[in-house]
Amino acid sequence: MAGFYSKGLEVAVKAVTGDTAAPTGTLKGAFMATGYTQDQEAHQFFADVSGSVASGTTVRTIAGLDVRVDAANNRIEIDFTDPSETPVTASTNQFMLYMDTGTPATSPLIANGALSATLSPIGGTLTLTVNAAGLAAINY
Amino acid sequence: MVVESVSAVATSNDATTVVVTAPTGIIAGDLLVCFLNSYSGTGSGASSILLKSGWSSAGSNEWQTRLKQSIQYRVADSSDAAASTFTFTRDNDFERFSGYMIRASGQNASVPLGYVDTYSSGTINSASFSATVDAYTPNTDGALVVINYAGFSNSGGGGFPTFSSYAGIPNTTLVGILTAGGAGGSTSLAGASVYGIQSTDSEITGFTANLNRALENHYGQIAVFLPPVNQSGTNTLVETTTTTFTQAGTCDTIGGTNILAEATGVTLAQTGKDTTLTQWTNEAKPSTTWVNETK
Repeated sequence: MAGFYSKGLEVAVKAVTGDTAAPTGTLKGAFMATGYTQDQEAHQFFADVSGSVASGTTVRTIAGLDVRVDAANNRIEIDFTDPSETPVTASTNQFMLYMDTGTPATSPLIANGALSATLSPIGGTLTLTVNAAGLAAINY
Repeated sequence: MVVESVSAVATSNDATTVVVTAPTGIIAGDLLVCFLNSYSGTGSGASSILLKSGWSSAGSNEWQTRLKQSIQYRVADSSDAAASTFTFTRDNDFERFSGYMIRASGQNASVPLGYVDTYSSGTINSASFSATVDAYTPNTDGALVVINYAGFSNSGGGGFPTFSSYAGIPNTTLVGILTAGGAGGSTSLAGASVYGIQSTDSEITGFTANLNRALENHYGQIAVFLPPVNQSGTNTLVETTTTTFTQAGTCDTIGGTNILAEATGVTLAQTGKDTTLTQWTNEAKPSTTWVNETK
């Protein structure tokens, strides 16, 4: 399962329309367990999915954020530096992006992307090579 | 993984300890692997090799309670880096005790030991043998394969057995060093520590060896230490679906005008001419007389 979370889009639209100010915090990501199934509406905040972070991994702070317009494909892309951690023994097949407000219950989920394969490092480095177009994109 | 350095062979006789000189250049985080062999008596003369405090076992083996083998390993810390020797112990001081250590790097920090097994060759009274072990394939390239070999002959004399070659581990060049042995009376013993780096992961099912003289029995143990398994993958792009809004009602007043459609004046082009002109001729007047018709 891969897609945006409704909460993240709601927060974004409310912020850009002036309805509600955008939450502040640190953009973070997590390698999710292979058994995690995304629910785009029921899963709203990090507290809803924290139990499904892949065992053996830790939440990663996103660096090199690049939100850009891809005019050729009519979309807004969300890209960032490849996250990795080492050493780790884990099994994961998806990566989830969220805004960490400091409180899991108020940290909105943004998007969850499927990986090209299940990654199972053993005491080694786990790296997500972010798609050239980014982790996620909003079409227009 | 990389074998960084190798210690000298250490032996003792009629002692409970053997003192192994530290391989050169130990730094914290290195993998230390020690091969131990004890040749002793039977019954009350039998001895067992003890696991050194702070070290882990990579398997043990024995033959007729007389020959005991042990591979022990440890990830070095600062105290190991400062050590000049390592003392290993057995519980009986009868006959020979030997040790030998290699220092390796690049091991898996979480689970350095991947596999252990023992073997006993069915080949007897031969200078060559083939050892079969449970099939095992390392989960990545660069594994460290170590073998603790022992050979025994009870047929008497014949000199000190030595080894000439080892082979059979795929993609691996085995290096062997004799660690212990003895000859005399009715007994000949030989032991060898063998190691190699498997460049590409391949199934391990055993190995072969050749000696300079026949021994009655060949047996030993094997262990495989693993480097980290790194994993990297990319994501499929998460995209929103472009939404097409459906018409929710109808328009009851339609207004507007049209754009005048006009024909453009066309001048037809001449496409040919008559080249055979014919002069008009007179025709005869019809002779028919008109008659009245009834209404």
